[in-house]
Amino acid sequence: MTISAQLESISSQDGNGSVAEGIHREVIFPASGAGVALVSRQLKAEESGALIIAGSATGSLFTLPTPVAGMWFEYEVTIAASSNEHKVITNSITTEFLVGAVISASATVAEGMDCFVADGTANAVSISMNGTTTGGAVGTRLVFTAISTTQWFVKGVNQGSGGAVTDPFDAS
Amino acid sequence: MTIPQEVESLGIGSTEGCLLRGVHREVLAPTLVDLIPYVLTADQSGAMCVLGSAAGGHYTLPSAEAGLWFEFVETVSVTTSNVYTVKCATGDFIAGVVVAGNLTIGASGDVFTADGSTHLGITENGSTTGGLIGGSFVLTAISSTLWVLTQGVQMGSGTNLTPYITS
Amino acid sequence: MTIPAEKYELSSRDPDGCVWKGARREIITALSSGLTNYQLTPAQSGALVVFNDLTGALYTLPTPVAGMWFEFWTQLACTSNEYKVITKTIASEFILGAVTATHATVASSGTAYPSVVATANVSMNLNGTTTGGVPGDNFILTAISTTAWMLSGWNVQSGSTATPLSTS
Repeated sequence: MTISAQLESISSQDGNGSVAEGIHREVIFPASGAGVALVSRQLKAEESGALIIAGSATGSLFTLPTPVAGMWFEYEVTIAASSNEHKVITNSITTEFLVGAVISASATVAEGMDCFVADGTANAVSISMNGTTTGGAVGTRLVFTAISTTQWFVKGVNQGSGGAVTDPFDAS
Repeated sequence: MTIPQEVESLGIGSTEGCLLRGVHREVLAPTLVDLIPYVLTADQSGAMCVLGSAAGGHYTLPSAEAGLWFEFVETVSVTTSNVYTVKCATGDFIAGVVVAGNLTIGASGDVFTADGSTHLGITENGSTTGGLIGGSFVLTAISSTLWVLTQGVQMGSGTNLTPYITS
Repeated sequence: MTIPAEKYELSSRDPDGCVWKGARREIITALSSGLTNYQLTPAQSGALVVFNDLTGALYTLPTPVAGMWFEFWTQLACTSNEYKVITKTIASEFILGAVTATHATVASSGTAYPSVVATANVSMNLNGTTTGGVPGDNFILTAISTTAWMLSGWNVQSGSTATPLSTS
């Protein structure tokens, strides 16, 4: 099992597990500044579990923290980028990579439902979505979960438009 | 609420709910030994369980109790001579769907439904029934006999086929 | 960042974060049948709501507070009425995001039904066939502000695919 020994445990780790009724999560929804357009918003370990909203037509840029196994972020798009792109990138692109797959979708049925794989190598350090053919339209939902100190597992549905949705994973 | 009374309750039960910031989950990445399943336990609920060996691997769920949940993710494609499996404990079943994903453009989109009465596990063979890098699914117990399959994407090749097993 | 100040906090906000081992969630089932409304509450945030009544069900979301969420899953297709999830105040609380339709006919899978800000959608309506509500349906609604719920997930349909979103 992989739980960082230094992390505060919020439960007693009883053998039956535990429940938190009415649990709420943090929502990170920048309207300006870091996280909007080309200005990076550095996500932090203490924000793990948050829902990140990409909500600007000028695009967004979020940088994942250094991965610690178990850390995770959910990411959703409320407004497609009409300039720049919506992008999520690892903190150190030479050593931290994305592994997993996203499935595409489109309001035009023939343009969606293809799968694109992040192979866990330097070929996939970011997901970059232009608002149309590489996805990032409204309703795009991605989940990033760190599985080690070098890899983030990524899954989700990438909503696109304006043509067949293509591979959003990038090496930079 | 459907949670056994003896389960530790976090929070103070306020009507507004509670807040959890900075939460990490457990990640299980055991060395999976072929033919010997890794048996999950209730106190591992909420964990991300990695299927990360080309030689395959197997997990067995704990006995179902409403509220338990596990996520399974495939980080390495299993070779076609091996399999990944996730099976229920005796007497439990799986209901829900996976969406078929395929690296061949235009080949994704099938939906495979687990019936909740005979389907008791998922087996992925590295090709038609999935098991390729990127596949993932969540199993949540909603009763003492039924696991619900959600957010499932089966990454396969060739013509995708159902991954469910009845024994 | 949006953290409601009055919430009881489970962690000390250590900069390294925290861990929750053995996390369970609440399961909500059979609290609504047919057209009888069940009002979800903030204290149920995080729950999985199961649709398993042949006569449908109606769940009303609470007033949104950022960070609240509910997941929905269809076990049985309804044969009368529909499975419906609606915002509490339809004049001012809306649904954004998208569901992606899947279908037994592969060529019909992959249609996205987006809900943008301007459309003022306030409900998901699953009729058991063309708008979803077929076993395996699964979507999540997360409040991102005091006026908006973010929608994501799969909508399993049969027959002629159609949007499950509505402005009423």
